[in-house]
Amino acid sequence: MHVIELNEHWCKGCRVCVFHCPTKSLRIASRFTMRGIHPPELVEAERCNGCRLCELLCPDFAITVMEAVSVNA
Amino acid sequence: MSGLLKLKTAAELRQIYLRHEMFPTIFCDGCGLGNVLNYTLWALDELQLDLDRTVFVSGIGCSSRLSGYVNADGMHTTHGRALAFASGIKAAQPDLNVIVFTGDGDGSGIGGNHLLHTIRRNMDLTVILVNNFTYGMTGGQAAPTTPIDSFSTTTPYGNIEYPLDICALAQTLGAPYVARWMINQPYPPIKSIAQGIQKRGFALIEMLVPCPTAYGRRNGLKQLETIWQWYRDHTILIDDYEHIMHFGSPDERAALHDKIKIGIFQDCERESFEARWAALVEQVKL
Repeated sequence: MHVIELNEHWCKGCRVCVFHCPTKSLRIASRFTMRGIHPPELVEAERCNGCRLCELLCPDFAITVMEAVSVNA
Repeated sequence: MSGLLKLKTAAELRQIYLRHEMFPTIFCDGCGLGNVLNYTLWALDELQLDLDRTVFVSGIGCSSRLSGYVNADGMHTTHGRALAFASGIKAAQPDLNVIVFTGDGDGSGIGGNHLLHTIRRNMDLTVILVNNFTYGMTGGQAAPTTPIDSFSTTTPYGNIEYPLDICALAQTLGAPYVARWMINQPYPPIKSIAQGIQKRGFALIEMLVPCPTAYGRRNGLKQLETIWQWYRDHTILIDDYEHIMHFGSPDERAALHDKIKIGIFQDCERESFEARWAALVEQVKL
């Protein structure tokens, strides 16, 4: 399981991460950020394999992919 | 160099290397300049370079904004003269790592002469030349690298001039490290920039960057997906190119004529200006 952390002040909603995602687990959200853009969101966390391509390809250093660690484990 | 890249997270990277007051970046949607900065920082992180001993020099243009985002000393110099300033820094303080961000119009058009002579001198610089086929910041004029028959503000009926192949030029002049990459794949450019920084001598890394606003809009590549896909379709790795040229059928060879070769074109050793200068000083010392 992975989660993405988004720096909403830096993301400009260019969709580079969305159309490069190899597992198609990202999509453009319908909500707006404070900058008035639609940010990407992780739609299916199970499908994300943590390849970190979105993190490496983000031109604005906005995405960080993190592994979700369960509290009970 | 370590065999496998051990990447930090982007959050850690931006904490160490970026000037937070400069963000968010000014680049357009679909521009790849941020990626060039991203890959450069991963390369710096791989080599664990000391930012206090690293200088970023840039000229004028979209690409030259990059030096302002890095939390290291830098110079934002006059149009085309980034290499001249960088040569001065390197000659005065040979132990500094000097990284130059320049564009195709800045580095090969306005500062083309400086490019020739800095390669000829073999200054120990790492030049990241960002090629987006146009003068993006000033409104999309035709640059020396604009492909033939493409449209721009100054060539509204199509460009009739042959484009300049910067990597072939650097190779002919004997630069020790010449590479060209596109930005769709992260790992080859990161490795290549790290190799370029480590190389004693002139290292030229040309990055092909999509410009949907100034170049793409006039050439039917306005959509982000279209222009990023265009780069994927029109580039070929140098090894594949040579393989097809040797063993391919005539049809396969004909399909290569409009493709841009990417890869490492030259990786050799050549005595740098600093080494020869130090030897000369030793020889004539009283």
